[in-house]
Amino acid sequence: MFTQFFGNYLLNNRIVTPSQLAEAIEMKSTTRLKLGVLAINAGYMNSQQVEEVSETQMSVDKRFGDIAVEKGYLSEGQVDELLSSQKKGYLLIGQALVDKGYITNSIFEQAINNYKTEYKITNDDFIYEDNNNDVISKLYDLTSYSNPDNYEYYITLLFKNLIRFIGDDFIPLNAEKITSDIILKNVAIQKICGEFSAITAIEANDVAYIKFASRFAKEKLNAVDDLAKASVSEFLNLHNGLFTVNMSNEKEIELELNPQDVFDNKEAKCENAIIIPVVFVFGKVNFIIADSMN
Amino acid sequence: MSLNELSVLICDDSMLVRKKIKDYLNQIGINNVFEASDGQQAIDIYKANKPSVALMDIIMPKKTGIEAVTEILEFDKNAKVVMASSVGSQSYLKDAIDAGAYDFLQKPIHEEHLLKLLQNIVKEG
Repeated sequence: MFTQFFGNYLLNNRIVTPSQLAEAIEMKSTTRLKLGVLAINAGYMNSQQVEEVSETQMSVDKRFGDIAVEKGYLSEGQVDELLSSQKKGYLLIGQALVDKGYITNSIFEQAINNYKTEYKITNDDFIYEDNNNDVISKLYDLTSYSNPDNYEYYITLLFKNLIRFIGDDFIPLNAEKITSDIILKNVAIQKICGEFSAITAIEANDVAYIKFASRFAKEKLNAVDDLAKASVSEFLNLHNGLFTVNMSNEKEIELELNPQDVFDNKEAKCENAIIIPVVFVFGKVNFIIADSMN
Repeated sequence: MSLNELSVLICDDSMLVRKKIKDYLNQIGINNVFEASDGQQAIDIYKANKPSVALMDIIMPKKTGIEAVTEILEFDKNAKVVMASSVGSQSYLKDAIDAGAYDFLQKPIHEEHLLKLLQNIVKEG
């Protein structure tokens, strides 16, 4: 999940433009991680050393690792370790941006280090990608909502489920708090009730709604028709269902779900609503949790 | 009895879920498939057709899956009703078991789990 939040970090700090980031996300699947980026991420080499080795490589027919070992920047053991390390999505984003020339190795080094420091991400967290609660609580200030802990849990699970059922090619944008009337273009809504209650919703324009529905249904849908609506609302129901299971199992909080509703152009009056816009390669989808909505 | 002799009632308010399950059932040779989009319809269709097995969502409009399984078992005490839900909270599970559900499938339904369950039903005859 760090991929998505690293992308958000790059956007927030204006290190890349949205279109550059979108391009990098699309390139991710065909990008090959190079040793330089891996060594920077591991903290074994700094960007100057990486540049130096890359420059040497242009005049000498040797591999990056061999030159780095010769120069004393890496040990052979470190080269082996880096080459066998797991491919991390956030690194692929960084690599794609470096390959495209949108950022330099030095900017990547600075960004990855600042990102880790700012969100208190340790190297262990990078290995066990589940520990991302600091990222969520830092990015989304939920203290003014009635159930901050549960909302945080909800959002964390949401990102996991998006990766699991829709795809990992998205960037979560900063959340907006809404306390007034809003118009929801295409929306699926479901109420969670029980020991606490909340309204949850997924909203998008036609194009993003259809694409999101197609991804979940694993079928090519062409219109905001009954099947597309069923698909988006079933994702919501599935996610909320898994949320209630986890709340019951882990926190002994028993919750129930109402059947979902779907609407077009719904005027909604929200109380304490948090809107999390998530940008996929196909468009923006808004995820909403509100204390109440009419 | 073999797999393709089974008749299956799919009860789910999601048209997508019904379509996905039906497509899979057809793929494994089960063509005798009924669909219901709410709990009341599930009861009515069950009573009219007595399928070999009913796959029942829990959260549905009009009548919930729990209410439907209760009524179906009152009508046919040997009915095989399998609860299929993403909601697996203790209370729902307890309600489903108390109501006499035959088994439980966690959503999203894995095809191999569904196949195994149907094969067991075939074995039991």
